[in-house]
Amino acid sequence: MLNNDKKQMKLDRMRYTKNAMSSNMALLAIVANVVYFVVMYKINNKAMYELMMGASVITNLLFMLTVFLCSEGVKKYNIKYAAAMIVIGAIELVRIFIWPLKLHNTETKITVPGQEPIMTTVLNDGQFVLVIVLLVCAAALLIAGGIIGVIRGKQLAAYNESLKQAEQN
Amino acid sequence: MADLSLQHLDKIYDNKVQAVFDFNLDVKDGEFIVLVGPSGCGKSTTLRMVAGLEDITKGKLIIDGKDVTSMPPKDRDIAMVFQNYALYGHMTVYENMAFSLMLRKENKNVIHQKVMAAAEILGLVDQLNKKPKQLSGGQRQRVAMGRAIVRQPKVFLFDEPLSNLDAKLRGSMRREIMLLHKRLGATMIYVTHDQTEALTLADRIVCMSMGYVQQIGTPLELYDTPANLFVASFIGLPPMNLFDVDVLEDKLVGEGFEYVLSAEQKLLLRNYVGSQIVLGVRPEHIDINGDIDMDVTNNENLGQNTLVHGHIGKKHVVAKIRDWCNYKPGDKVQMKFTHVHFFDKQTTNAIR
Ligand SMILES: Nc1ncnc2c1ncn2[C@@H]1O[C@H](COP(=O)(O)OP(=O)(O)O)[C@@H](O)[C@H]1O
Ligand SMILES: [Mg+2]
Repeated sequence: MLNNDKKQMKLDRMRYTKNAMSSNMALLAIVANVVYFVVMYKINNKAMYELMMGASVITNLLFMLTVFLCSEGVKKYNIKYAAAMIVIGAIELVRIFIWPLKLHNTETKITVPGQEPIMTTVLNDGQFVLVIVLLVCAAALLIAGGIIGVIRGKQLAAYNESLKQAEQN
Repeated sequence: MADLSLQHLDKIYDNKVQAVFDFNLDVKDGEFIVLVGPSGCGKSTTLRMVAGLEDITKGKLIIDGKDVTSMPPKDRDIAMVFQNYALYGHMTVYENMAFSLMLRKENKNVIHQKVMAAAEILGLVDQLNKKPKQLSGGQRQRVAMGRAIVRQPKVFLFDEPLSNLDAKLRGSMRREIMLLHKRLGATMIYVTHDQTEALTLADRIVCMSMGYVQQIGTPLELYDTPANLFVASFIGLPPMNLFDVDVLEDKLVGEGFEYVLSAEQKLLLRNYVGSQIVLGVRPEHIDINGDIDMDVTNNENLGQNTLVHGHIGKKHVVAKIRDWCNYKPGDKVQMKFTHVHFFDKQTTNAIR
């Protein structure tokens, strides 16, 4: 098969197959985000509650819902949903600088009976790195999946348009 | 594409029911074989044995010179189309057709080419993104066939693929299957209980009853020279009229009529003189202007011809007259038999 033919066929195939790659990347981003908030909520500290736990829960629910909608949208090569994925990916990066950074900078005292109290941060260094990795993963998946979605969506739209033109001539 | 040889196939189910007895058939490459017979006669069982969905109790199945008797279905390179389509509801038409190839891990572009080619043949290109429940019955049946076509199997098997469709659609799908066979040139075995389907589709018909093969032959052979009473009454619509008659030297005497034998027929029946045989007359071989009295009970105009129902003696008879007739119930019409068949009453075999 010629290279050109292959390209052509790949385009033609898109008319009948889903954009499974972008869609799966969105779903993986949800998984990374779930692990992220499980880690965050496991930190049993009063500081967490003070820092508006409710707002955090709502943000996460909203995130999962919209990303799930996006994963369905990009499946059908919808460019708007792909663009939304990119935006949400950027927001994931920004999130690092909100709760995680704040909690990493908040000092707390751990008291074990019979021992000297230890001073530490709410989010210790290990947890902080883990959380950053998870959020960066989610962001990377969303942005990459979104970009693939936009490219493929544009390709397919152009291909469909060219078919329409050919039909009219 | 392939030739098949079914040799002395027996099928005994676990509950000791024997569904098929000594089935023998050689199928040539590219041939269209129709298995026909009433419900429960063992057609599906035979087909399922060929597909490998049922074990063969006894006998041998050869495909392309290779003994596949105990080979699992997936290795036989056979595709089967079922009556109930068995499509995946959550997949699109395209995905339904591509699925078996995807399982085989074929190259995606190759799959695409095969699916598009099949969709082209079946006129499904505009339906490829739809789900089965958005399609009509005929389209679903086409998808089921498309799924078989993309696999490019050696043999296609169909088990009553049209029986869920309404009569009009059945007619058009029948023509499509005929064209499909011509186009693909593939070996096909087709099961149906509908003798019209058998006559129109088959290169050769295998007529079955109670697990036994009754006759194998071209549609014309089965129609013109049925091997026994079963085939005679099963093939042909309306079915053949059958009369018990006494054989005399030069004529047959039935209840309410006599039939004068020709020299040839006398010779054929010389050993039956003095005994009873069965006389068979197809409705289309009964004509007016004869000397046999028929009491009309019903007159059905079909356009080109008329079905005249009535009695000869006490026997209910159907005649198919090539004209527009207007007989009334109670009319007496003089009929004649233009072509007849003789059957031995004991063995039920044709006397030839
Ligand atoms: N799985 C089974 N177990 C036992 N008996 C069966 C089974 N399948 C079919 N039969 C019997 O075998 C005979 C032939 O069935 P089948 O081949 O389905 O007939 P057909 O397709 O000609 O209508 C019938 O008497 C039926 O009851
Ligand atoms: Mg059956």
